[in-house]
Amino acid sequence: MKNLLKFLVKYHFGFMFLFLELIALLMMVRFNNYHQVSFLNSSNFVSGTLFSMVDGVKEYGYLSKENVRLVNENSRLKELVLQYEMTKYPGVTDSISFECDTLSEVMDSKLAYTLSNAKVINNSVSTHFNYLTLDKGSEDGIRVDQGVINDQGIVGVVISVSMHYAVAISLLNKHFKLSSKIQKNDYYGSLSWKGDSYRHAQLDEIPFHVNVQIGDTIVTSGYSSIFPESIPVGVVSSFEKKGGSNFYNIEVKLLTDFKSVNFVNIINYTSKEERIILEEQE
Amino acid sequence: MIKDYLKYVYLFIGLVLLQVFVLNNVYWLGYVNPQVYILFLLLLPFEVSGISLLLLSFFLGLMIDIPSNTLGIHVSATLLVGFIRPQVLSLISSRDIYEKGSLPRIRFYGLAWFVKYCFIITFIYTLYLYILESLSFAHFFEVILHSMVTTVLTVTIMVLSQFLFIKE
Repeated sequence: MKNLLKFLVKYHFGFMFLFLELIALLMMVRFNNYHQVSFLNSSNFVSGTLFSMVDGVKEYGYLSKENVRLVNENSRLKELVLQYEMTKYPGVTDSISFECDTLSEVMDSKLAYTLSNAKVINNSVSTHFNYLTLDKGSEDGIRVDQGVINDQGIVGVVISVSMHYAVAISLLNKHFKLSSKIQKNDYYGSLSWKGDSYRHAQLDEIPFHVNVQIGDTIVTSGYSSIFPESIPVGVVSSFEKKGGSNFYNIEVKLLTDFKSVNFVNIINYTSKEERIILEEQE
Repeated sequence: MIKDYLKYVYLFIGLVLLQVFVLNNVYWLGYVNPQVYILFLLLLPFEVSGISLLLLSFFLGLMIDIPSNTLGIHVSATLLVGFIRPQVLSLISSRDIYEKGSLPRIRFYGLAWFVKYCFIITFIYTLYLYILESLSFAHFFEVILHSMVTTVLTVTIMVLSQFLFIKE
């Protein structure tokens, strides 16, 4: 016993090092379980406040670019509104009013999702595990597992929420997987990021018999309760047949430019609980 | 005495803010992200005890990890810095014991000594950090090259900072 104590005292520096390293290792391995603990990530009050202050300064640099994007989005939305208005005052022929009925049905069904907006106050694209910090939190109705998109396409999913801030896992994160499909033929697979280029991701699980072409649009499948169907993700930039496998290796060029993500929309799926309960019953 | 402690508190806060809000936005060539904040551990006095050194390393890493959403990674890497610092110090010194009252600074031990000291520790730190981040040895030579470039840039900034804030 005495010798053991002597031994411990003599090498206390090394033991302390190993002990603290063990704690660090546990933190790393279990970080996914700590997502909810918002004081251990950038949604905590101090980081959040500082990030929004710094962002307030940086804001002036990208305002003009952001304006152009917002104007473009506005005109696109106006177009949709005009189309919708048309459905209220159906045209003379029956065929048009029939088409319009289905369109208004589509619009109604989309109300299962509501959108709120937020600003990205911290973002990275260069590590293997990227996250975004948003300036809205639980007080603004943001909840964990809500999807984040912008005018270009998918951005990520909210994983942690504090009162005024939220952290979203970026699509550019090796832990992130997105159920998505080829728009033209509805074959679906899993989209993930390999950690190299911030403009490209990989679509797996598309079997050989499917017709894939460069330039095909990839959209969300709607099979998860996070994103609605048909939100654009990217276009096929290259594909190849892997030897010894039944699936294509499809590289997808992402539509979202993650380096300039600034204003985002957060998707609230209003009937999510109903869907989850139903799916768990099966 | 208290003034001395305060100096290190300011240095700690200053370096953490610099790293999180400025340098973590710098990704030159897509991967060169200078890690200047470990300068805090390098500048601590020679007399600092092993346990305080490790605890400070742990705390410093945590302060970087929390806002960067990388819980554990920087903690692990800064702990390594705290662990190797005494060994590196005795390795690069021709004498056994550093003079009393002196600090690990350029004005006491010269530019060459300081660069050597920063370079060895920063290189081990960045190499360890890159391996930890990618968790694979698949691109080992790439990782070594990346750490080398990052180290050179980081040490350059460290040395320049010594001339900029010379008044201590």
